[in-house]
Amino acid sequence: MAAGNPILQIDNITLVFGGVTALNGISFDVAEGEICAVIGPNGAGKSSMLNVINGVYVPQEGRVVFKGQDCTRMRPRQIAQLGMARTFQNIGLFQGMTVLENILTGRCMKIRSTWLEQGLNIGRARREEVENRRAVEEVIEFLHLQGIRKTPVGKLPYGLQKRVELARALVAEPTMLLQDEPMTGMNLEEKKDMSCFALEINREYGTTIVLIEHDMSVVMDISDHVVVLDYGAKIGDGTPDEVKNNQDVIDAYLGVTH
Amino acid sequence: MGFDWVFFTELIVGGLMSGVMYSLVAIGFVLIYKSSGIFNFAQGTMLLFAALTFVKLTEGGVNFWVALPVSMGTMVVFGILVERFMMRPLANQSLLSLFMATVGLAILIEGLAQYMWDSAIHGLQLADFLDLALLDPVNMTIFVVDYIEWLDILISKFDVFATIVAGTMILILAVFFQKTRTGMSLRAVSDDHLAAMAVGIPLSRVWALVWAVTGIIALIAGLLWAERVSVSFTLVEAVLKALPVILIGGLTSIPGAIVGGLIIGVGEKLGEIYLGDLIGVQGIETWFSYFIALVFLLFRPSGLFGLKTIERV
Ligand SMILES: Nc1ncnc2c1ncn2[C@@H]1O[C@H](COP(=O)(O)OP(=O)(O)O)[C@@H](O)[C@H]1O
Ligand SMILES: [Mg+2]
Repeated sequence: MAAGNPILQIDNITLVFGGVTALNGISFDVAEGEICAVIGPNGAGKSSMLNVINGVYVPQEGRVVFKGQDCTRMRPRQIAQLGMARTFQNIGLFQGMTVLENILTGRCMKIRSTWLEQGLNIGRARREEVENRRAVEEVIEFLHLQGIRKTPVGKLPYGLQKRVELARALVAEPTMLLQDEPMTGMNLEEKKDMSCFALEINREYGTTIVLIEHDMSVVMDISDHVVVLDYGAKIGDGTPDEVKNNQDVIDAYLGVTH
Repeated sequence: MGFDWVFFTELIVGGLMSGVMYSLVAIGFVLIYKSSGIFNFAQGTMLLFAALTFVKLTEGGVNFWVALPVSMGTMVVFGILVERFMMRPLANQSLLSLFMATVGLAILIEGLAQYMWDSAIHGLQLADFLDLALLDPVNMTIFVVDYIEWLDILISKFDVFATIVAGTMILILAVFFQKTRTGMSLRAVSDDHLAAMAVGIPLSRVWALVWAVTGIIALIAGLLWAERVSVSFTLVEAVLKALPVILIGGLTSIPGAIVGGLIIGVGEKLGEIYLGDLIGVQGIETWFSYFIALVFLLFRPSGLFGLKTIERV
């Protein structure tokens, strides 16, 4: 585990949907600057965990503390303002927009100008526009999206859509990035690219990353810290090596193919 | 007997002008659908409520130029209240619940309108107001004569005025939602509201804004429409004119609403005259626009600019 204070503390979270207990008293810490993988079989509660962290769901019990602030009951926008960005399991892109427009929406929290200034393109609006374009171009270059700026995202292949979604999250310059299955459904080449991006983001910008991933080799390669969920309970928490040798984890994964 | 080109042109122009009005009402639906994902059943009563507010103010002796902004302000407050007490609590509920909420909203507004105002029929001579307010001082007589001649055809002056107002509003809205970041936020919310929230788009503000703008559209459309049908509960039916427009243009597209409105406006006028004579049926205009929409959908099932089906996943 990379050294560093906990930037995110998950404290005894319980989340219930009707009769289904999606998360049952989950606690773990994420250290500043680390890559933390959350793994587990389908239906284990991984996505629910991410949704609790960024405020989509409010848990029945427990606390989420981000950068020392209790954000258990904050709304997603407030949490985004604290510096958290995310991607979704089922690609949360804005399908009616181009790649460029999608990435630009990632800058919406940096906007201070009023709609009147924007409509007339004067004052702060003009300065912000310049700054936003610069940030967007930097991310486009970083993720190699140069050729497709004007393409409607719906027309892109799956793997590229995931990359555009990552770009939209990055352009907000987050201190913490949540990724829900960024590599699922990708071919080997694309997976390799994606894991390289995660590592580069982590090293170059110091961004703390929490990601959900099924591919064990990827997880073992890139993460500093692994949390294992099964049926809403935490069954493993430690370095990749510790988790690999944990008997509960081995049992949970027996016969489960991904 | 030669074809009466003058009359034909008159029909086309008249059709285009009613079409602009239909477009404006349809855009009210589109904005709500795009941002909130629901078909707003309360659109018609919003029209009525807004127009009634204005009429009652002016009947009470309030000056036109005061009554107009006050009515607009009322609709803005209305938008903020709808966001706070309807959209926010129901944010993660099913679309059916949201739709039912707009049905409830319609009933509430109607009751409120009856309670605050009354259910009598009010005449509204917007033309007179404008005549006095705008034109007397400079001694122009634009609205004194009801019709103008242009290319040998007769056009109602009020229709020209209504078209200009509605057209200008449509233009402002189109620019606003295409060119500003707020407009982009609206499109983002309409595409995927969970993702929009995660990105940090102020969902509440976008919703309140859209409902307020829709309220102002309802006011303007209501006033322009009331000139023809007076301010009473029949005003609610103005919305029936916008439904075929939506069928053609789709619920998600502002350009669709504009073009759809023009198609219905012109098609309706032509059908009324030429087809009505041909098949010898009177009163064709009440249903002919729906007929146009259905024929249209036979050839373009997803509508004019249909991007996606009417469902949010
Ligand atoms: N919005 C929801 N409503 C009801 N049940 C849900 C909802 N989201 C998740 N669940 C349930 O919670 C459990 C965990 O789901 P999820 O977090 O998506 O698992 P994972 O991402 O690990 O596959 C599942 O049983 C799922 O059916
Ligand atoms: Mg999941």
